[in-house]
Amino acid sequence: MTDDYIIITENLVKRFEKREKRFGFISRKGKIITAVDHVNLKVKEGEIFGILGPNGAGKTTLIKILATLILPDEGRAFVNGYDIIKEDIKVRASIGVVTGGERSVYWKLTPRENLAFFAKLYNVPESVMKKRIDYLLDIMNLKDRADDYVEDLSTGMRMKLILARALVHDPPILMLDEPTIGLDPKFSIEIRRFIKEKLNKELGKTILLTTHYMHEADYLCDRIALMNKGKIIVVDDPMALKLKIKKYDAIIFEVPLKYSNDVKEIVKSCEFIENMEIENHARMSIIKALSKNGFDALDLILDKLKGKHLSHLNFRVENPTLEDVFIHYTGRGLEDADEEEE
Amino acid sequence: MLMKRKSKRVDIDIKYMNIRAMLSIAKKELIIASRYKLQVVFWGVVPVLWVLPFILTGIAISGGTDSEILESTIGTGNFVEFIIIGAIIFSYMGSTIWVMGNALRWEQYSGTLESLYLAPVSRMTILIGATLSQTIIATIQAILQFLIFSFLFGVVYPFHKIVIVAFLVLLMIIGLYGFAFFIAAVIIFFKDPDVLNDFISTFFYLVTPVNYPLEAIPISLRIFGLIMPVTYALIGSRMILMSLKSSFTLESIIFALIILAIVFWIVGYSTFKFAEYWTKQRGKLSAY
Repeated sequence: MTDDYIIITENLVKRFEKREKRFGFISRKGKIITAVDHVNLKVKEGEIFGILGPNGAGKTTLIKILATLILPDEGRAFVNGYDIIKEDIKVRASIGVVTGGERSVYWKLTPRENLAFFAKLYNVPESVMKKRIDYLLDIMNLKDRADDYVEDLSTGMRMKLILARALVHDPPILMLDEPTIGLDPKFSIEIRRFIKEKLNKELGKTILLTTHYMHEADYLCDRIALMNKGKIIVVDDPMALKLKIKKYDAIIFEVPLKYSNDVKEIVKSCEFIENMEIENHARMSIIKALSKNGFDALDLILDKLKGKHLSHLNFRVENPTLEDVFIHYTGRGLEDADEEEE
Repeated sequence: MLMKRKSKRVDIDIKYMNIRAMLSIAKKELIIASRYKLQVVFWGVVPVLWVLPFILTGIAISGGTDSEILESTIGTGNFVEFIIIGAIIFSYMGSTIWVMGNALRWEQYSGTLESLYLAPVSRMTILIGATLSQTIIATIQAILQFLIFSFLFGVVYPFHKIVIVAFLVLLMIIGLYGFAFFIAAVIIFFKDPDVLNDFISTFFYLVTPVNYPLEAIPISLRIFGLIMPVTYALIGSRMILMSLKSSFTLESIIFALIILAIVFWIVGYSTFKFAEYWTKQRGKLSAY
């Protein structure tokens, strides 16, 4: 084990047995499902590491194993240098976990009471506790509602409280299981920004998060592991993942119909363009040109467009998305995989 | 107030952490219970209502608060005092089993079980903390019951002997906690807390001398009563507060309570630990 990595898994396996046909207490052994299949991961200290995959890919099971809620069947793992099986209490003291949605705090207590309760469970010294709770309430914008019952707060406020609860013992590692699921888009953006800017950049927390939102993984993560059917398919930073599968640059022009033929001819004549597709709409044509050398092609085309006084047209170069990466490695999209799992 | 830093080694004083966690869980339970205002009102009233029918039936049958037959069996004929002690002491057993059996289920229903399980404390600490709050409530109920029954029936106990009774009750509670761990473990396996709790509470209410002397219980059932700490606490408390005659001495009662506490803790602890391992192995906290 090296000190550079704060989370390490070695051939981690978890199988569940789906029991069948119950007669009172009697049930028959059924299908074995491998939720986590020989997973090897190394998470660096201070990075945001994302596990991206469809529902049922095994992401939550993996997080629960690392959080010591579930025992693995095979393999081993270390969190903050502690063995998840032999030193489970020290592992739990090293992590803050957000899982289970807005019900994971007590609704009949106030935010302040909730934080004090969890601080005591984590043995935060009394001398530190009050200041830290005030600080967390402050950065989460909950100070004005600190003494209201949680049941009277909005969903967004409850999610902030749950994040504060995970931070109350100031752990070096945060594990966030689908942190924005069920939140409205505006609040999701706020939470993501908070995770990236405050928790990771400012406070240096190592963050392990699961998500099935590509854009979330793309925005937040320094590195991503794509997970499908219990297996880690590939690990890399989002840009490298996209570059790995990038064979062509796609240059897209949105052109008013009256210029469509001119632009088509210019693009077609460019030596770097290998393929071209045109979609005609009511007032616009969309011209999609594929090139192995997109930027050189674009240079040439723009020069020619300028010559014809058409430099005001809209264009963009499209790169592969993480969805494309997922499709490349699994042969199906994230949404398709979700449906299959369901 | 949060520190920017690299990973840290965790130094924890597990014993101190568990005690602090236990007390804060008990406090949390009490705060939440106190927020259901009607429940607080019922703390004092409902236990009295449970006992009153027995007392009123006794009065109707015997024509007063004394029974000659009872006196010939246990040396004192005041069945009102007899029943009140029985009800109060048994309420500790009922509440201990009820709360410990249900504590994890209630946390699961409210969605907070995982948050609790993620804390670096023993899972038994969570159970003890929750049950401790109920023991405190049961003690408040006991005091209220004494006051109400004193008012209704003029019952007066020699309260200068209460320290010895409290000692017996404490030993009983320690044993009951061990027994309740066992019940909590069984509930993890079989999942239905209500049925199991109801059955166990009702069965032991029947086979322990709560409303009648031990001698009135058929021998085949009495055996089950004799493995319960509550039986010895009841006999001992009545010996002290009512000068009840018994084949047991106070020393033998204390000895039995200590032995039962040790046995129940060993059995309860081992069974609960196994149940916890079984749940983690199956990978479902929902097994609760």
